[in-house]
Amino acid sequence: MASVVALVVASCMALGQAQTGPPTKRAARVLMDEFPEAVDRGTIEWPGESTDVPDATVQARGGAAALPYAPGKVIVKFRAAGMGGSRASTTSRTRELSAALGRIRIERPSHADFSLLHFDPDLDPEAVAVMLAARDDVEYAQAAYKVRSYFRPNDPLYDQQWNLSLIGMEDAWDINEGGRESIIVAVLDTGVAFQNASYAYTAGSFTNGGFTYPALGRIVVPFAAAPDLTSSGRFVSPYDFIYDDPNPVDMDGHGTHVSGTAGQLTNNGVGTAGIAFKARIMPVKCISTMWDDIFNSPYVGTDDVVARAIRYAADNGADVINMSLGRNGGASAPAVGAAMRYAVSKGAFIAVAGGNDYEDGNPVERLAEQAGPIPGAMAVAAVGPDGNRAPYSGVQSYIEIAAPGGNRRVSSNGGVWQQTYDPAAVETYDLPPSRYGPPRFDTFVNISYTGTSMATPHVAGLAALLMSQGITTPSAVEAAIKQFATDKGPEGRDDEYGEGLINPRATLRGLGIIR
Amino acid sequence: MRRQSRSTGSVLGGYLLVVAALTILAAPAVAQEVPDGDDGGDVQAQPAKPAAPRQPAPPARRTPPREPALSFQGFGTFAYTSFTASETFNAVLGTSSGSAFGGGARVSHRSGFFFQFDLSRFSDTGQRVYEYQGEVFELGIPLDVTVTPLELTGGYRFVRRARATPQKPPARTPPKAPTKEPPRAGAAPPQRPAAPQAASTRPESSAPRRLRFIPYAGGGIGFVQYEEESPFAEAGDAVSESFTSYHVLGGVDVPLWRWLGTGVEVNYRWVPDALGEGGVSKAFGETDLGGFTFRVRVTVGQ
Repeated sequence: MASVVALVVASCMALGQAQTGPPTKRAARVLMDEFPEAVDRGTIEWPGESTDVPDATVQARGGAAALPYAPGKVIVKFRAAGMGGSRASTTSRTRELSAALGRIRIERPSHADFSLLHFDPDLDPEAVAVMLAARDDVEYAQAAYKVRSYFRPNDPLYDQQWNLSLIGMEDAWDINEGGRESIIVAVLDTGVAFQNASYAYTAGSFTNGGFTYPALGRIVVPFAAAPDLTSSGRFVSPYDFIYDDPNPVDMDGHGTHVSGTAGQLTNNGVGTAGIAFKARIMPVKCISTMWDDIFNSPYVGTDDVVARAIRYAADNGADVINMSLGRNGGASAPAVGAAMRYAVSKGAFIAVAGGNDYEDGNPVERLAEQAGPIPGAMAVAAVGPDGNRAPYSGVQSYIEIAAPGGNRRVSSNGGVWQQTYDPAAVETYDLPPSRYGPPRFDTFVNISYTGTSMATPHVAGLAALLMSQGITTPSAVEAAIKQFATDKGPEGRDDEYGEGLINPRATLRGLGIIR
Repeated sequence: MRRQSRSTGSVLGGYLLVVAALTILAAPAVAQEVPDGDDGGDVQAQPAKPAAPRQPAPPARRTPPREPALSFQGFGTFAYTSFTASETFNAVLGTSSGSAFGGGARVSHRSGFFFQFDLSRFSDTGQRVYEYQGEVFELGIPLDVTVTPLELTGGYRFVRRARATPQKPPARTPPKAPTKEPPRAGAAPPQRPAAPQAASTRPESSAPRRLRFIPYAGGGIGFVQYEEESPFAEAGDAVSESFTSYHVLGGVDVPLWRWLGTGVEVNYRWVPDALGEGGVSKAFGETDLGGFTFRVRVTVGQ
């Protein structure tokens, strides 16, 4: 599914090459008096990449971290003398345990029919419990496992979201349950399925894959807000830099999917979960897609449009800017770099996709390249369900951090799941011309994508949580994400993972005096 | 992993041995001395011997009772500690100082040397933070910090020793000088001059008691148990470590009554390399868990 972003970027580039000079038509679409409702078609498997690797590497939630225990003590119930157990006196028992464990203390807490055995905190409580359980005078012994009221979303597809368990999101949500509404995450992308509306477009003829597709003429296209993304007041300051109006409707699904990872409504019993699900989303469209091309949109996604979108987001209160976009052709992008520095100076953290073309020559991603040296803007690499770098993920000196982007080569469930449009209703331009027809942007499915586009909103979502937790400057957010990252690859920073895989729980928990 | 080195026990053992040896050695040497004064305690004047008929009465000496070689005191303390790692504690607790409570016991030899142990506890709740380029971001996650120093101190109390002072004879009519005439036979023997009366068994009882100050100074080693707990911890996140500490102290004992006294003390403690390997202390480059402590003590015992 790396092809999704590649497709988007390629289409942007193609359009950028095709259209030069100022646009001549500004009224490329007309808002119609129709407000379609979304259709949720459930879950489908993205038919793109396949895998022949069994799903053995998907990590169960939590791993070792799911079994924390209090150090230096175990819960133990001693048998009463004469009940089949040892008749050793308490004194002799204490002496025996001291011989085995060193200095100990046995406490009988109130409201308990068991004792607490305290010992050297450096000893492994689980091993001590096993040792105790083997004694005749012990009925049971166990480590004092920590119990908590942790948050576990009830979204039905949550169990498939290996990406969230890989980075320990349940532990992170215990600290910060989805951020705050005051935090705004701007998603600079293909738009977002954020409104129920119908727009009239004029679809001209075009060629694709050697076929010539006929003009459809004036068509009315239905749009609907993504059911699992939309709530009252969820979207703020939307803007479309492709049509230069405040209706950045998604005509691809990429931006909607990315928005879901950053902030899909969570614990609502629907679809999937997102990271900063209480944050608000600012849809900013700055990537043009195939349908924008077919509809002859006034602008295309070029550096200047992206730079303007970044400044717009910063000027309209974005705390975090997600840029699951890029280009790897041409020269550097100083205009975008300047816009990034401007946004950071306004207090916005930026996450930028590190690029999906490692296997295609590992070219320099020009926008990620700009983010690298800016404190407060991070270039993001992708890892798969096994925690290792995804084969497509760019390996470059500007890579700063890694997050789950998916890898279907190591798992059949190797993609990142979110709700977005049903491709069958959107990508009619990939059908033979005889089956080609108008798209619908009101039909949703849960689908998994892969790519650094999918990795980037993990970082953006984490940044939103951090900002709601109290780390309020972009440079400090970047420093914290790096400091608490789980090192991957060669020790220390490297070009594959940057500082490592994001660790939301540790990052949100911050620093004590010693630890 | 515990930070306390393996040599800590041997260092402590050596220290205790030295202190014990000093105490044992000092005791007989001092015991052989004739007590020649007091430390300001109550004095029981001894009745002076009657003067020889032809000699003026020798001045009476104030002879204190023999002090026991060792005296014991227990004490409770209220302390105010200012940590050396001020930026670290200020970031987490909002202050780099705070109060502590504790207690201990002291064994004093009449030579002035003493040995004491003191256990105190500082506890406060702050919050976890993140530090970046000197700016501290508060994360709103409670952080309980407990510092429990155990100090073993050897020192010297500067007990003021009053010299034995001749006691003036009572101001009364001096006895008549004996005549040079031999006593006549059958005559009654001449009256001995009246022996000077003891001025009082409590010569100061009629005057207001004055507070006396007994300065002392010392130093020693100890251990600091440091604990750090906060929610959302996983295995290994909680901190419970002990560190070796060193300290010097000085203070003043103020006896108030026979068994009760008070005093103040200033203590400076070093706990090197306890901090700085992680947490916000690493960000600030602060490594010492020690600091200044001002204590007010209430003592019970002689």
